[in-house]
Amino acid sequence: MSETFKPQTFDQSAQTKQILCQVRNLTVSYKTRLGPVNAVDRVTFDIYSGEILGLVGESGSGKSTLGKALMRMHPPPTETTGQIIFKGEDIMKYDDDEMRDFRGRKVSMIFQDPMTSLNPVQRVDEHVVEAIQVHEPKTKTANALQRVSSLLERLGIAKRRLSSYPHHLSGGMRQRVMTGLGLVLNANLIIADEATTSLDVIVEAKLVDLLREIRDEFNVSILMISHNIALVAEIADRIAVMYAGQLVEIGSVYEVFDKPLHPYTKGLLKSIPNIRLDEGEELYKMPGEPPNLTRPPQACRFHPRCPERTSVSDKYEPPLIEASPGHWVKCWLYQDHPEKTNPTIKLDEE
Amino acid sequence: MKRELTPETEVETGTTQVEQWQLDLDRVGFVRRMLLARKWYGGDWWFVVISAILLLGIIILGVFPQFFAPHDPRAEVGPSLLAPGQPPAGYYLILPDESTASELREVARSENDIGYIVGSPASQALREAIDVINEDAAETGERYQPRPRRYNTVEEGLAAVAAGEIDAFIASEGELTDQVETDPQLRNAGIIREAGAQGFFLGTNQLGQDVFSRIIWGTRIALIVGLSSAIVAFVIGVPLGLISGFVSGRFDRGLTLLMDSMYSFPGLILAIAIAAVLGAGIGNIIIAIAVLYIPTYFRIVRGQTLSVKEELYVEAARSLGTRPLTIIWRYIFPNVIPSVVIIFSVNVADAILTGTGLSFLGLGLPPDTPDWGIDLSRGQDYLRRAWWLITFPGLMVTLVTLSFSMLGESLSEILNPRLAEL
Repeated sequence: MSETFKPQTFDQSAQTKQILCQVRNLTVSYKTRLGPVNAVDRVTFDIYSGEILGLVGESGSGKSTLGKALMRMHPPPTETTGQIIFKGEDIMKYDDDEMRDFRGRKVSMIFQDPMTSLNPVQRVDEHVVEAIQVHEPKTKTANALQRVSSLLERLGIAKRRLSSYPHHLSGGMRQRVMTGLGLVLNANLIIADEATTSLDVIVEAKLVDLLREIRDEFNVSILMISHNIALVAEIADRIAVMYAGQLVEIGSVYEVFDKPLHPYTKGLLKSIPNIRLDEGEELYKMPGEPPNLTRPPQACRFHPRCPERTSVSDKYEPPLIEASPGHWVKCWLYQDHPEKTNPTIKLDEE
Repeated sequence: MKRELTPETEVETGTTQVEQWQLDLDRVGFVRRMLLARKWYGGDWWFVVISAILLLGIIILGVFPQFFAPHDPRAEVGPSLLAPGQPPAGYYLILPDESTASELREVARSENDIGYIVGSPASQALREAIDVINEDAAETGERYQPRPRRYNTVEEGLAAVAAGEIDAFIASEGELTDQVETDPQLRNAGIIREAGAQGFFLGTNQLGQDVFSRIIWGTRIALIVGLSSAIVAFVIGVPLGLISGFVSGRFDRGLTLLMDSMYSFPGLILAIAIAAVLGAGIGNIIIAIAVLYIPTYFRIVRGQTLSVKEELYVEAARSLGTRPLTIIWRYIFPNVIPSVVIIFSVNVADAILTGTGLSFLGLGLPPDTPDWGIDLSRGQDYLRRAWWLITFPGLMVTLVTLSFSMLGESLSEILNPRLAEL
């Protein structure tokens, strides 16, 4: 498998490890009748500029909620707490106007369903012009179109397509338009929330290629939210794994795929369907069910399903530690605890 | 049992030829038949075309009534209660034979008595003739004002003339018998009003106004009331619904409560109450009806807004930093408006009906306005004698209301993509 994921630009981004966005203890808490539900629970990670960060996890693990929370898109009564430091500014302290200006100009988003993510009554060019005019209201329509014409061509949207309505376009085309909307204002970070999920594999591959080219060309960071691990392995530089609202492992795509540390990541990788699976060999099925977030398991949230559970897993919550350089994991297997009886695995740098 | 039969056996064994569509209809279940009927009703383009042509005609009538109405709707242009197409009758003056008078002027002093049949247009003819005489005599300062005497039949009246109880008798050609010729005591002194050559297309009302002209001018009032109140309700209800649905929270709950409580009133009762409080005038009628329909728009728009604002493209617009007002105006409003337009068309019909109802009850419009509701309410007093007074205004109300709702309903059926292919 290892030969499949070799992002060519990994080295380049490793050299220029300039931090774009620091997320610290980000918590998103939905108010429900059964009490607050922390869909994202004290998540901490960094996004470097010019990297593609893959965010994977099961359905309901809080991936999309995290993506939206980065733009503070959860209206009250949902509470978002913690810190998001974007280019040295804490956007949690922004007021509504500053936040509006931040959205689109600094961070933009591509959504899962291309069929519904464009306004059905607006033409493509109106979308693009509006994206510009929202932030620069004085821009004339003709100027705005001129500004974006080369970009749209770069994205493979022909000029004659500009006057089409969204329902005239194919799914892939619509996602390209959405991508274009994100790029017209030179956003630093594009959040692709399951952007390729509803496309067929060929269109998906094209879009993924396009995203990578865009990254190389415009030096934007891309947060790729997906449950398709194979796809993330193909495109991402680093990968973050979420489980039950918490970040359980984050590291470079090589390390996470070659030497997954967290038992959940191991299980996740084992359950990818493989064409080379032998006759009669069964696909790995992780035991148990994803936890109910209204009453998440105590301590380590994965312990009820964990095959490598330690003696303290059900008593204390492990912190997220850097087990090897650049490879963080939230698991007792790799750290000491006074009450722990299992041996701690030491990862030696080779 | 009948469902088992195939069309062929039905046609062969039956003595009479059965139409194919009847067979088709017979073989489908009740529910399916209803569905098919709805398809026939809604999907057929000619339904829309007919109502659209009707509406176009009605709107042209309402905009240019002066080109279509033959008379001034407020002027008394003929004898009262003239049936449609019937020319006005001529009226004769009957005198006793011994009388020396030869014309009306000589027997029209205030000490004279003039008789006519109860309820006959003859009284009007007499009044008009006297008016003419008075006008002529205005310079001399003389005043003609005969005392009226009413009789149930011509015979009674003529007998009274012959007996010398009254000085003259007025009757139309139709009322007169040949008694005048045969009875030596009576003398026909000639015509006091000429018979008209031409009648009125839809007759005249109790005041002698042309019913046809009043109906045509009434179109204008109906359209003004219907359209303006629907527009006022639209202009107020739609933005409120948009904002309420978009903002949600306490503001939304309060406004929804208010609108729902207004909606729960029986429509006409609320309109009567508001019109009674506001007083007379076409503007107040419009406001009263508009208030009635604001909740309709509010509820529809709010519901649609609630669902549209959850759409991904609204989310996407927010993620681009679009302002809430821009989102409402450019993303939600255009996606909500199609369903509102249909409501609008049906509402105009409703508003016309309510407006007519209000003026029927005597609320709002000045009594001499050429309005269908007023005509209906006046005309019902003469229902026995003059059917045309309420038939034609009522027909117009039905026609206009029908074509507006027909257009709205069939448009909604046609535009609704879920009903397109049944």
